[in-house]
Amino acid sequence: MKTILSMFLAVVSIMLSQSINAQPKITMEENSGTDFHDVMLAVNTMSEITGFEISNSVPLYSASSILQRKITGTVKEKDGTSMPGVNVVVTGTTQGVITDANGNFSIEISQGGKSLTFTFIGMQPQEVAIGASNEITVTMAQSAIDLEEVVVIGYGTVRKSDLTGSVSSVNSEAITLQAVGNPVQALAGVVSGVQVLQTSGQPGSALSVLIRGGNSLLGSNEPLYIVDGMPLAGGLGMLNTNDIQSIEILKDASATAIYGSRSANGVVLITTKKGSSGKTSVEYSAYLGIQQASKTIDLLNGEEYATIANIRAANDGEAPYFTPAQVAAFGQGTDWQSEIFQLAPIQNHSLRVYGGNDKTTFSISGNYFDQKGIIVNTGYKNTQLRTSVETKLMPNWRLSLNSIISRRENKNLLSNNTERGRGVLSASLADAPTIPVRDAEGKYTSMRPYGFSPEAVENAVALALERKQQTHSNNLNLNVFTDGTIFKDLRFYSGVGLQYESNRGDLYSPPILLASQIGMASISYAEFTDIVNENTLTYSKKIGTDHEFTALAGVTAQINTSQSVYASSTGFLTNMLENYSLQSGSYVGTPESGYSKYTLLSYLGRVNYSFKGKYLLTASIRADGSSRFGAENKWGYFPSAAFAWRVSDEDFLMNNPTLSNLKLRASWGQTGSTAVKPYQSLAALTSVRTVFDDNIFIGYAPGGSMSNSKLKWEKTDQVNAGFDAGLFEDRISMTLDLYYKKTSDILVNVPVVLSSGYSSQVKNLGDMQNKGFEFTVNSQIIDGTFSWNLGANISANRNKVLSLPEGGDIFGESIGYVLPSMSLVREGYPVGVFFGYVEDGLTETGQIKYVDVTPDGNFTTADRTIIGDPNPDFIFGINSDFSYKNFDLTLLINSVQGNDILNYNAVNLGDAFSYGLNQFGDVIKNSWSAENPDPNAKYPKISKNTRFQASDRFIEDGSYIQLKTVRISYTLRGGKFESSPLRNSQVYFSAQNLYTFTKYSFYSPIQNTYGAGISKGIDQYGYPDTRSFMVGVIINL
Amino acid sequence: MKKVILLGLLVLLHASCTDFLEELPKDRLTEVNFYTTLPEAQAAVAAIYVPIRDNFDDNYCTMIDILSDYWMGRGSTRPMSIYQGLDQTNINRVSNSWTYLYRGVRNANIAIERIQVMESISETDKNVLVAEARFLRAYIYFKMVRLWGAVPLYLETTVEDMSRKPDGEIYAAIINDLKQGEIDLPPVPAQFGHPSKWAAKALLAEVYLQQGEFLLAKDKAKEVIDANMYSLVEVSVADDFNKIFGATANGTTEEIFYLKFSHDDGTTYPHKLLWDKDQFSPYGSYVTFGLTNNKFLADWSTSDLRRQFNIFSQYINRNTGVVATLPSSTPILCCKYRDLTAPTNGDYANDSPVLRYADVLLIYAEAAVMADNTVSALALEYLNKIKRRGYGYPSNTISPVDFPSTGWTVTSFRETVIQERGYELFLEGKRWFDLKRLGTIRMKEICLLNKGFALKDLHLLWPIPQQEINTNPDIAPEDQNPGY
Repeated sequence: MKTILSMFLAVVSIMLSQSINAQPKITMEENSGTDFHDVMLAVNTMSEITGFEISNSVPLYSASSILQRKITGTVKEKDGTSMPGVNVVVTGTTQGVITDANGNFSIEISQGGKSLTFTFIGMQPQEVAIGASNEITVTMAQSAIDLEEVVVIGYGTVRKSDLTGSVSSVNSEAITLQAVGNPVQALAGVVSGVQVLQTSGQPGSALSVLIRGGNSLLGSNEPLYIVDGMPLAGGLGMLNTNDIQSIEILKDASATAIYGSRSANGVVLITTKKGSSGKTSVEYSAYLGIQQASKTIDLLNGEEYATIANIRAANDGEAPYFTPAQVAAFGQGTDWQSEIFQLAPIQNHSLRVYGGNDKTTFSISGNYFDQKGIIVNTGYKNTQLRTSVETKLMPNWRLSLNSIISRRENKNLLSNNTERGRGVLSASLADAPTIPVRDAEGKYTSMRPYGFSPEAVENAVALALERKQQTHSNNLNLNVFTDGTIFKDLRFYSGVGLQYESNRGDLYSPPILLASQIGMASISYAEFTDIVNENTLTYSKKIGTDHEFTALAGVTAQINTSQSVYASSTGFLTNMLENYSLQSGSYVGTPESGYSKYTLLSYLGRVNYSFKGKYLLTASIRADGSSRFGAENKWGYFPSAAFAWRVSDEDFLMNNPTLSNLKLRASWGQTGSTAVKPYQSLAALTSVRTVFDDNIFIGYAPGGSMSNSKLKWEKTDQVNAGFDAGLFEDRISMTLDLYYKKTSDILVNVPVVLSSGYSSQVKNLGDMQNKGFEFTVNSQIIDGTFSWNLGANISANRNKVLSLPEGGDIFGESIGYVLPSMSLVREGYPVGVFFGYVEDGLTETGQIKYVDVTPDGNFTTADRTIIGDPNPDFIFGINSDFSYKNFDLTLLINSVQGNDILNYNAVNLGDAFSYGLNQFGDVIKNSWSAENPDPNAKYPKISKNTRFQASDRFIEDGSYIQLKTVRISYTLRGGKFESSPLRNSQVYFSAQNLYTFTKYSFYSPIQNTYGAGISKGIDQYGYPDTRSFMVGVIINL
Repeated sequence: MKKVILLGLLVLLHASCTDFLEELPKDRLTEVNFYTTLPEAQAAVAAIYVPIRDNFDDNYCTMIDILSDYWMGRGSTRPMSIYQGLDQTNINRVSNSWTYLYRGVRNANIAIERIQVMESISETDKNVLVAEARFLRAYIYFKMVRLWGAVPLYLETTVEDMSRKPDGEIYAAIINDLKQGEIDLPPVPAQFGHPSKWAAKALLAEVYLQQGEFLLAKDKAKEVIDANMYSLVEVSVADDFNKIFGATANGTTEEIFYLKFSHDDGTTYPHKLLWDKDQFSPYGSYVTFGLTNNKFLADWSTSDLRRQFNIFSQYINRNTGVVATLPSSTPILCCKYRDLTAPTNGDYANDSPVLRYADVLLIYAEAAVMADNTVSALALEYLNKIKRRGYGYPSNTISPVDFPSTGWTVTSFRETVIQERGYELFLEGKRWFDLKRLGTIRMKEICLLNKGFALKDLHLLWPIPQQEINTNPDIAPEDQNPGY
C-alpha cells in the first residue's frame, strides 16, 4: 500500500514543484490546480513513466548538460523502509529522477552538480553533497506536518498548504489501528471536534457522529458522507476499514458549503484504495480476538433478594414472603448476568490484490468481519467485495469504475430502551436470583412465582435465546466516471453513482415469552435506490508567476427512492416455522407498505485564487433545488468565502529558526440541512382503518400535523478563524480553529390550536448556536532508532438554543413507564438538558423529599428545574506512538468530560423494591429503615408504596477517559527484511477499551440509547461496551 | 468537440427537468385529488370513527369508569380513581382525549363540507353521509360538554370565534345535528357500526335526559322502543351474556350503536381489565380493578348473573388449569369483555356499546318518572325487564326479582333506575354521567358512600389542555376549568 501511496504523492509533488519544467505530454502546468480528478488522472498518466516494471530509476527530465558521472543510491525511511517515488534532483538544476519501487535511483550528474536534493511529500527535504563515492544512501525524516500533502475536498483536491478551510485528515493507518465494524468508530478521539456516539454496544449497531455539535432538532445531525465523490445514502457501515485510503472531515462552512443544503452537519469524504500500475501486489490482513463485558453490575444475590422481599412485606404490614430457612437456602442463587454474558470472538480478514499496467489499473479486495456479541445470540457479520478499475481511453482521458458489494447480517437483541425485565439486559438484571434459569425438567422457569413478582418480567435467557430478531442488508455501491482534458486548462468530469440497498428484518417471538403469548412473527423488507449524476468543469490557470486560479462549475442531480413492505401474523401452533411461514399464523396482521422519493438538483461553483502562493482566496456557491422543500421554497443558495495567509512565506519569517510554518485562515459561509422529510410539506391524507360489522373499512383524513408549503432547509451561518503552525522544522505542528455557528429556520413542531383538530405544524422557526474551539498538536518528541510521536487534540463546543416558537419548551421522548421525558429543549440552554426535581433527603417516613423550587409550599410540576446537561464541556484524544527498531507501541486515549448521563437503569434497580425487581447490591444496607431513619440514606423506604419522581437521583457524571487502543506490533522492515518478499509485513497484539476511568455507575458511559438528538445522554439498558484483545497479522506480498 | 456537445446536452438535460423537483407521492393521497367519488365520500365519513375509537382505546375507556363510585385504577391511574386530583400523566391523558375528539370533529366537518359540494353522487347518498357525519359530531360534542363543560364549537373546519361556548349552545348544536339524523339516516344501517335514525333518536333521548328535558327524553326513548326494531337478548346462565358482549357478537337485537372492533382492528380495553393468567383471554394487565369493601360491589347480589358475568375474584389459570385467587392488591377484576382468541393484546374483538336497547329502556324509566312526577307502570315494567334479564328470568314475564309496584318516591325510583343502570351498563362508560345527573351534592354522597373517597370539585370537569390555552387566542388562562 505504501508504495502506491508513495507513487501517488511523488507524482503530486512533481506536479506541484514549480522549479521543474514539465514535459508537455504530462501537461503539468495545467495540472497544478486543485481538482481531485486532475490529480488522479495525472497519477495514471505519470505511471507510464514511473511504472514499477522499470526496475531502475527513470530519468524524468532531459538533461541538457554534458554527462559526466553516474551516482546510484537508495533512499530509506528512518526505520529502514525503502522509499519509492522520492524526487532526486541535482541541486539548483531541473535535472532529476525519482526512486523506483525499491527506493533505488541512478542519476547522471553534470559537471556543475555539487549536491543532490531529495524531496518527498511529508518528509523533510534533504540536501546531500556529492562526495567521492558514487553510492549514496539517504535516510529521510518525516516532517511533522505534511505541507505538500494533498487533501481531498469537495469536488476536488488541494495542497494542504493551499487549504483555506478547516479540514481534518485521517490516513489508512490510523483507521485500521482499531478493530471496528464501522469506520466512523475509528474517528473518536482521533479528530478534534468530532464526537462519535453509540446507541448501543451491540455489534453492528448504529453510530452517530456529531461534528461541532448538533444543529437540528427534528432533522438528522449526522454529517454527509461522500465516498469517492458520490454522496452516500445511509451510514458508512457497508465499508471495511481496510478499503479506506483516507478520510477527510470538512468542518467549516468554506469547506462544506459546496455541498449546500446537506452540509450543515459537516461532510466526511472517504477515498477508497485504488490500483496502481506495476507488479501485482497482495495484501492480507487479519485479526482474531476475544471480547468480554467490560463490567458487571453488583446486584442482590438470592438470599438478599428474599430478605428484601421480607423487608418490603414488613414495611407494608404484610406477612413475610419467605421463612428464615427459605431465605438462607437461596444462598447466592442465580447470577443472571453470567447466564447471558459470554466471551465472544471477533475476527476480520481482508485480502486485496492490486496492480495494473500503464493503461489499466485495478484493485480487488474482499473483507470478512465477524463479531459475536458479549450477550448470547447476538452478533454482526459484514462481508464485502470491492473492485476498482481504471483505464485510459485516451492519453488524457480515463474511465473509472468503483464498486462495493456488501452483505451485513445482524443478530439483534431486545434490550435498548426496555425496562422492568421486558428486554434481555433489563431481565438479566431484574430477574429474581432465587429462581433457576430452568426447572427440573429443563423448561424455562416463569419469573413470576411470587405474589410480589413484577408484572411483565421475562426469563432473560429464554428471551435472549428463543427470540429471533435479525436484519440482513445487501448493499451495492457503484460509481462510474470519466474525466479528462477537453482542451488546454479545461477539464471535464462526469460520473454516475448508483447505490442500492435492501434490508430485511426478521422477527419471531415464541409463546414462551410473556410479550407474545400466542407467538408472533413478522418480516419487514425495505429497499432504496439512490442515483446521482455529477458533472463538473474545472479551469486552472497560472498567469505569470504570481497569479494562480482554479475555477470549478458543476451541475448535479440525485434521485432517491425507497419502498418498504411489512407483514406479520400471530397465533402459531409450533415454533418450528419461526417467521418463514407467516400464513401459518392464525391471525394475519395488516400488511403495510410505503413509498417515498426525493430529488435534488444542484448547481455549484467555486474559485480558488492564490497570489504568490501566500495569499489564498476561496469562494464558492451552491444552489440546491430539493423536492422535499415546500412549493414556495424550492431553491436554496449556499455561499461561502475564505481567506488564508501563509505568513511563514513572508520575508520576515523566511528561515525563521523557530517558526517553520504559519498560516492564518478565516472563513464564512452558509450551509443547510434538509430536515424536511419527503411529502412533509404536502397536505396529505392518511389511510385509517375502522370496523363495521366485523369487517375493516378504510377511511381517509389528514393526520395530526398541519401541512406547511413553506417548509425549507435549516440554515447555518458559520464563521471560522484559525491557524496552522509548525515549530522547529515542523517537528511540532499545531492547528487551532475557533468557530461560531448560528442555525436559523430550524424545523420545529409548533403546537397549534388543538380544537382545530390538528395538534402541530412543522415550521422553520427555531434558532440555535454552536461555538467552540478545536486544537490539535502533533509532535515528534524523540527522533532516531527510538522514536516517539505524540499527538493530542482537544475541542469544546457550547450549544445554546436562542429561540423557540413563543418561547415554548420542547420535550424529548418519554422514557419508560415511570418517568416523563427528562430531556428538554429550552431557550437559553443547550439542547437536551435534563429537567426534573431536585431531591432534598428523606422524610420521617422514608419517602423522598423534593426541593420546592418555586417556594409556594406545594410540590408541583413547576418545581422541576434544569438538573443536568448531556453535552460535554470538552472532549480530547491523545495518541502516542513509540517506535524502536522493528517494534511499535501505539496508545490511543479518548475522553469526554463534563457531560451528564441519565441513568434510567436505576429507575428500576434502585426503586425500593416496589415492583419486585432485583435491586442494586447496596440497596438493603443503604435504604431508609424505621430502625435507622437516616434522612440522608441513599435509597428511600423499601415499600411497594414508595414512589420516585424524575429527579436528580438519576443524573450522573458521565465523564470518562478511555484507554481505547493499546497496540504492540513487530514489522519486518529495514536491514535484512528489505530484500524479503514479506517486507513491511507485521504481527501485532492489541487491546481495545482496556480500561475506562469514569464515575458513571452503570455498564458504560458511552451509550446513548435514545440517539444523539434531543434525547441524548440517556442510558436505558444500553448493550454494554466490550473490552477486547486481539492478535493480528498484515502480510504484504 | 464531441465532448463539448455532450456537455451541452447534459446541461440541457438538467435545464429541461422543470418537473424534476415536483413531489408526486405514490403511497398517500392529497386533499387536492380526493373527495370526488362515492367510495371517497364514504372513506371521509369512515375516518371520523377512527379518532373516536382511538380515544376510547387509549385511556378514555379506563378513565371514565375509574372516576365512578365503583371502580379503581392501579399505578398511574390511581390518583384519578381516589379523587386525588390530576397529576401530569393524567392531565396528559385528558388532553389526549380532547385532541382525539376534536380530530373527530375536524374529520366530520371536512366530510360535511366536502360531501355537500360533491357533484358525482346522489342527493340521497349525500344526505345519508352528511347526516352520519353530523351524528358523529353530535356524539363527540355530547361527550365533551359533559366532560369539559363549555368548549369551542366547530361546526365548520375553521371558525372565527374559538372561545368556549356555553353548554346550552353546545347542546343546541348537538340536538340540531341529531334531528337531521332522525330525518336522513336510514332505518337500518348498511352495516352495524353505522348509525340508523333510531340511533339518532336514542342518542337524542340520552341528550335530553342529561339536559333535564325529561319529557322530550321520555318521548324520544318511547319512539325507539315502539319502533319494535329492538329487543333484549334473553339470558338464562351468566355466560349467555357473551351473546351480547362476546368477541363474536355482532348485530344482536340489542345493538343500536356500538364502536365496533374485530381481530383485524381490535380494542385493548379487555386487556386493561383482565388478569394475565385467567381463562378469559390470552393477555391482561389489570390496570383497573374493584375493591371488596366497595359498597356498590359488596351490595351487588351474587345471584345477579350480571355480577357473575362481569366480575371475578377467582380464576382458572389457563395454562395449568389450577384455580387461583386474585391478589389482595387487585382483588376484583372485570371479565365482561372476553376474547380467548385475541391475536394481540391490542386486538380484542369485543365491541364497545354506545347505545344499547337496555340503555334506552332505562332512559325511558328515568325520564318518565321525572317527567310524570310519578312512577308509571310502564316505567316500572321497563326497569323490571332489565332486572329480570339480569337475573336470568325471561324479561317479559313477572319474576321473583321484580321490584315492588308500590312504595316509590320519584327520587327513590330514579335512584333505583340509576343503580340498575350501574349493574346493567357496568363498565360501559355511563356511570359517571349517570351520577352527574343526580347533581353534585348527591353525586358526592354516593361516591363517598360506595368508594370511601371524597370527590373533589375539580373532578367534575376536566382541565382544558394547556396547549389549547396557549395557542387559542379566544381562551385565556383564567378561562380554565376550576381547580386546575
